[in-house]
Amino acid sequence: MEKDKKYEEVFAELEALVKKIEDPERDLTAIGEDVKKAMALIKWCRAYVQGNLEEVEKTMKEE
Amino acid sequence: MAEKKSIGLLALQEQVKNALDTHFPGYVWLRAEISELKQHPSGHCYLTLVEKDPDSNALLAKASAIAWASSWRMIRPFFEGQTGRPLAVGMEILIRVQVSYSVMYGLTLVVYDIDPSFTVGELELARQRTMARLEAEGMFGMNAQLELPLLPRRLAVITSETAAGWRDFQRQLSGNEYGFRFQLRLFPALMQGEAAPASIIAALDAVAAEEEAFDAVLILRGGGGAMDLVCFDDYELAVNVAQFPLPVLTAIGHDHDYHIADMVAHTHVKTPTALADWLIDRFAAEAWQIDTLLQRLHLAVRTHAMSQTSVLDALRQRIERAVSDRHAEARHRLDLLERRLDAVDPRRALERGFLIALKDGRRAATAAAFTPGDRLSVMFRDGVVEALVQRIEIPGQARTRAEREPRPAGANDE
Repeated sequence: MEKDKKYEEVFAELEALVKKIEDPERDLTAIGEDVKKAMALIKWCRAYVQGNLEEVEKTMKEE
Repeated sequence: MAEKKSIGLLALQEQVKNALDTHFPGYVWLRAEISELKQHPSGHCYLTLVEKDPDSNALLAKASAIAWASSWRMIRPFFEGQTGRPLAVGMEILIRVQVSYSVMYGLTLVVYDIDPSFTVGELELARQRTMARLEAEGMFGMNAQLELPLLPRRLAVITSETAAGWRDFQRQLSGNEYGFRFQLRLFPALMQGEAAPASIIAALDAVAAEEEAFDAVLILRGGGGAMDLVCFDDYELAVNVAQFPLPVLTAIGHDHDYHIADMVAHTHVKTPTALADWLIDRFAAEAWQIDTLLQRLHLAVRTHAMSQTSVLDALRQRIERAVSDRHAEARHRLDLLERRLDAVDPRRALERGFLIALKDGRRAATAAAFTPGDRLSVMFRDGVVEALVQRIEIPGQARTRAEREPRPAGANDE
């Protein structure tokens, strides 16, 4: 349950970040960092839904 | 002391038998509850029938009955086929009996027929009473109020380990096309018969002891016959499901079944396979949401790139236009200069018929520059005439004699 809460929080963060990136006024330099972070969040969310979060988190730490 | 009038046991028994035979010459349709049911290896079925006080449940009457093997082998499948459940203790039945009295064994009711519709009605009434009681106690919707995690992955499964439904469920869930992983733990229980409610309740208690380890509990049944599902209408089981601390998901029936346990559960679907699909769909919907965000992200990045390209293009066009404007302006200024230069070009004067006088190769702008006898070159548009100054006339002055009348410039030169 707690894990699901965390997933919901991460998903909400991801959604907000995508909205920010979609803003046509968003600074280009900032978008680079936003996209990098969004891709990391997507990877985390996908791993959570798939049920292989532990493996992915381990790989991310090694990276 | 007078001798008392008496009768022998046999005579009494025979009188009773005769009275009964006279009073009950044929068959009787009898309503009763089964309190005992024993099927003998010979095929005969022995029953104890009772009638209870509807209010106090106190025993009011009791009798033995027998269904001979020849009748029983037709009565039983007929009843089960019509009601979807076997004859069982506690069931109200309507049977056609013959009252039989034996001087050796007493009263026996011989069963020849049964009316299943009566029992169905009675069971339905009992079911309605259970539902009304649960409704009054606020059990409906109680479990459904619990929040089911968005992605229920850790699942406690209550079912029979040998049930086909359990195998179907595992196969469907583990073979999902997306590769979603689930954590299943089996809590075995009896899923049919009188003992089923207590067995399922015991399994629920075992799950509740480890409540934190699970997201939801599943009650599965399926793959067997449609008989004996009455256990899922049990009041105690319904109360346990309704009040369970985790969401209870049920898949216990066939397409036409809808049990009280389903009604009080958090969510119910028809079959274990359908429940597996329901879970997979929940995860697939979430994966789709993530993919949608990824697509939006890609689109936003492309849009930004295109927007930036467009800004750069506009800048380039402005630069090109500015350069072009500067070139045009410069060209215009050069044209003006050229025109001004052209206007003062001596050749233009020659073309218009004016003459230019040169003295010693240099342009002589005034008559005063000459003296008679000087040589001068006179430029025409088509050539040069070498001439000798004979006379000079300057208004107001007479510098020398005129040797020849000058001709006006541009006059007939030919």
